[in-house]
Amino acid sequence: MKIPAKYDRRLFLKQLGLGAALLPMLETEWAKADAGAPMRFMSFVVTNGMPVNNFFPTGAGTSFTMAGTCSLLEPVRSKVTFVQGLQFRTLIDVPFSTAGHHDFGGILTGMPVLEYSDPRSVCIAGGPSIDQHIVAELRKKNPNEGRPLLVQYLPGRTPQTSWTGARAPQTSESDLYRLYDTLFMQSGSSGGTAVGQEKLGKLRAARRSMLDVVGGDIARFARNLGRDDQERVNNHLTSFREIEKTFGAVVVDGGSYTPPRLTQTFSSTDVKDMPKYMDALVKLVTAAFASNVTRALNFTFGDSLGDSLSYPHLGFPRNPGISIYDGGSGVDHGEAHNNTKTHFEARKWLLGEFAKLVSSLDSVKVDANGKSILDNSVLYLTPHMATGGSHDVGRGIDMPTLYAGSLGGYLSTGRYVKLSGGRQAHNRLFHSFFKGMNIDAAGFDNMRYGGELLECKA
Amino acid sequence: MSYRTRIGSCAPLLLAVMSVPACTGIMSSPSGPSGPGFQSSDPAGVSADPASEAVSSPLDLRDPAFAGEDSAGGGMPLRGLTRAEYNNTVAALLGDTSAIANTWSAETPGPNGFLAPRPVSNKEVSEYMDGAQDLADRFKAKLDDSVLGCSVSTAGEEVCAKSFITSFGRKAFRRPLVNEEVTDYVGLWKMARTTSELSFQDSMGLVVEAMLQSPSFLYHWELGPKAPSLDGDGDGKLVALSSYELAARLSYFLTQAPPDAKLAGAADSGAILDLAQLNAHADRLMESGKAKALFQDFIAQLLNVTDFSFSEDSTMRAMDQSRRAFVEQNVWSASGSPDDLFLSSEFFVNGQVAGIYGLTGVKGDELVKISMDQNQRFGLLTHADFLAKTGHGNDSLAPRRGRAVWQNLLCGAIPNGLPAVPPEIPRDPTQTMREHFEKKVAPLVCARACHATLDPAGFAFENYGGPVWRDTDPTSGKPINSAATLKLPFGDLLTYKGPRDFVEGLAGSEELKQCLTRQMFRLAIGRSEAKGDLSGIKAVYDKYTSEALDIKALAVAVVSAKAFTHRRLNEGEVAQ
Repeated sequence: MKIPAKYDRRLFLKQLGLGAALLPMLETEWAKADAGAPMRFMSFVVTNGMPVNNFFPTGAGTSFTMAGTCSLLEPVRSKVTFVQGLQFRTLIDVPFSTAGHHDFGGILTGMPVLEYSDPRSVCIAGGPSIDQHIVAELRKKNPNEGRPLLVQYLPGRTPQTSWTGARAPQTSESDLYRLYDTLFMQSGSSGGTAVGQEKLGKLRAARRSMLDVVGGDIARFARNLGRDDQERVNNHLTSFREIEKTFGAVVVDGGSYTPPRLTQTFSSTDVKDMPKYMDALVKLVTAAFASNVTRALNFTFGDSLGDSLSYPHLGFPRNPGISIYDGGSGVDHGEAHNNTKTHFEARKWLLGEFAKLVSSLDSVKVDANGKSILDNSVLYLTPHMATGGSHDVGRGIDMPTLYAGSLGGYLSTGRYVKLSGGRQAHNRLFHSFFKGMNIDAAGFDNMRYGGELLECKA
Repeated sequence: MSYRTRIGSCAPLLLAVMSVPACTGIMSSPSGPSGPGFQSSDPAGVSADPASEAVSSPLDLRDPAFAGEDSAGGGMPLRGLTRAEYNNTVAALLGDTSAIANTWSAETPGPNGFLAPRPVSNKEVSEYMDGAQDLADRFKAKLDDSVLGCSVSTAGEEVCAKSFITSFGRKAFRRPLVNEEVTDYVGLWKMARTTSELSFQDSMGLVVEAMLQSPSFLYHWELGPKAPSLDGDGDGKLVALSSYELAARLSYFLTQAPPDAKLAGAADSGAILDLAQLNAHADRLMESGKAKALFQDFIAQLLNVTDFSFSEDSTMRAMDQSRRAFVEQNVWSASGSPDDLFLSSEFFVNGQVAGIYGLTGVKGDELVKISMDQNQRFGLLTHADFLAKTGHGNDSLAPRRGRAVWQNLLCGAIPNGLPAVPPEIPRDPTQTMREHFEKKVAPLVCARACHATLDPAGFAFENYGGPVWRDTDPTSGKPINSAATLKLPFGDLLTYKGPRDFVEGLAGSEELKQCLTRQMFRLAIGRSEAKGDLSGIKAVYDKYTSEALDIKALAVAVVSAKAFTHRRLNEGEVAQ
């Protein structure tokens, strides 16, 4: 995936044989589009479940004790809120069963899923996911907002969590190094000579013409197709226009944050490098938010089965003779069902990585009062089912849920919130996020599950 | 197309396995055999058309009722180039053999159950953009008069640019460009060269970059931006493929690559529309060995092991190479019959694969031909990749293995069960995995139908813990029992004492022959079979069985089916 802004720069530089030395000059081309404090959203979806009996704290309100699975969150407890009493109504309020792994696709959307099929590994969302909705709304105010970043660790061939609308899935990027390299342009940054603005303008015009030809070609191609094929090509065209639209437009803070250099000392597909991958993810999210290349980031850890996941660094390699492919016996899938020690340790480690992400975002200050990127963000963490054993999506077990960051002080943090009055749709938590981000929720779920959760308001 | 048709299938019931990766995941991708056995309720991509009605299993092609006039039972769902096809296409077009698409989005099951590119979203568009840009960069670097096919100094830039656009476009789009397209691309070149003052090379590169992002390049749709023409002899919905569509369909089916010069010439002249010519080209491609790609892909998809070739893991790649060598040997050097493919014990192993098979004498990366123990290793189903993919780590998993065999090789139907997820059933460590299924899972009312159908096709492989042979279950310490009786889709009972016994019965079964016929048909036409196709499929089956069950003859026979040369109008499509 390429972020259009950097994509644009990269294209020009590449064509001209120039490098990063030119960047500061190019930066001046682009105006900072958003003068207000930008709010950001990140979803952190974990395949399978949590050791749910060892997830929620004891106590209540601000006086709570972390459960063992979450113990590594202790250093950032003031930034985190646990929410107990949520369920995935988008998967429950449907006339068919979604009791399987492949309901993955419906967990970040506002509307009930439209279709579900296990054998084809398909879950068709009924509307946009929260990441896409946020960016769509932000673009109403600033058309140059970067599109959501979609990242998935070991995606397999299972459904995605991001949708631009009903039946319009978006595929995530799995090669983290490539994504980072593209965003922050590490490769070939060996310097170069300056080039005139006039020549850049001409280059830009040529590339725009090229995109115009391609866009026209796609539209012409769709003209005589049948219904389904036309829909397919129209989705192609929409994605193309999405990228084309932001060609040449950039939103960069221009602040003091400099993305760290990332070396490719890890593989995005080898579980042996999982800790390095997560370390790179922390750098990516921090850099992406600090540089404002996006305000919405959708991260999924594993596919909807979790079969590809094992944890060699924790001593759970499983079938080492076959390395990453373990025939479906990964810790997440094979042992999640019984809340075994391996599953507990794996989740404890992952939440520790989440804590590092929280700390990293909190380390980037955005004003003189010490407010951080984290303070202007919200990070929503959920598994895609309550426990792997039950496959429950909140019918009988509370979805293990937490968030970090306060969206500029709108949300309360450092708390353990137990909802009363029966389980609530997790969409209501999304409404709290929309409020904190000043995002219009219309079109997301039409308030079918109610509005924000006042219990989470500061 | 409805995705609901499988709601209520037995897959969720397997959640009850517990302590093993149960539930839906057992039988679904990426680890389970969700391969080319699935059909949607509207397989042909059209509806309200009797010829396009879905067929149901079991279906016996020996039924004389199918011996009617051949027709085409479905439309032609739009399908993008797979990664392999993209790589092969740019290799033919630009001489670029970097396999640039290997890291792109993986394919997912398409309308015929075989893998097809994902629906295009931002990521795929970005991949196409990046790929086009990189390929165009490399093209520019070597652009000269010989690549252009035109002398710039003699003919002038514009003449050469137009000439190149026309000839390159013909190859890239697998059809001649329409005037509108020529105008657009020449206009783009002119704008880049004059208004933007790019160099000639950069301007040509921009044009190539644009063409490589065109849907006419990226999709199998050689009709171009035109409406289809109806076949005058049809029923008002039958469309005869154009010569360009037919040449491309034949070439990508057999070789996963664009038409070669001879085939392109036959498309230009229209000769390919003659069935005898079409068959002659199929024979030519088969004899030239270019069709090897078809059988590697077909078999890997039937076994659900396509991901092994894209893996970064050296052991998985070694397994992939081992199977590929076996397929090549038995399709091309042997007779290509089910007996060869499913029973030959001549394996190809390197040091890594040898370790899995418990062989100590083979070292290094080079594949070596080995005669294996005929009771333990024989044919595709006892190769390490299939067993690793369908096992459960170092254990067996009868439902998963059974499903792969039942659905992909026997074309058996999966009984519906209750969609609800049953409570967990922990595995008793004193029981083998088989006993767990037989005593704890299968008796559940909600799981009975599925497990009774599938598990007996998987118990035959209980001796394989993952890919490794075992005589004793390491968990319970009990001896392995791999004997069972499977009720085949047509109703016969296959009683077997062990894996070899089972696979011999499978290889000789009527169901396997018919299923391979149907699967090859699905792969060739890009959709599942419909009622209108059955006469043609029967003719393919008759040809296949008359030619000693050679899988190569099966592929060539499919080309003669009317559904290969014709299609029905897709829903919403208007003919000229």
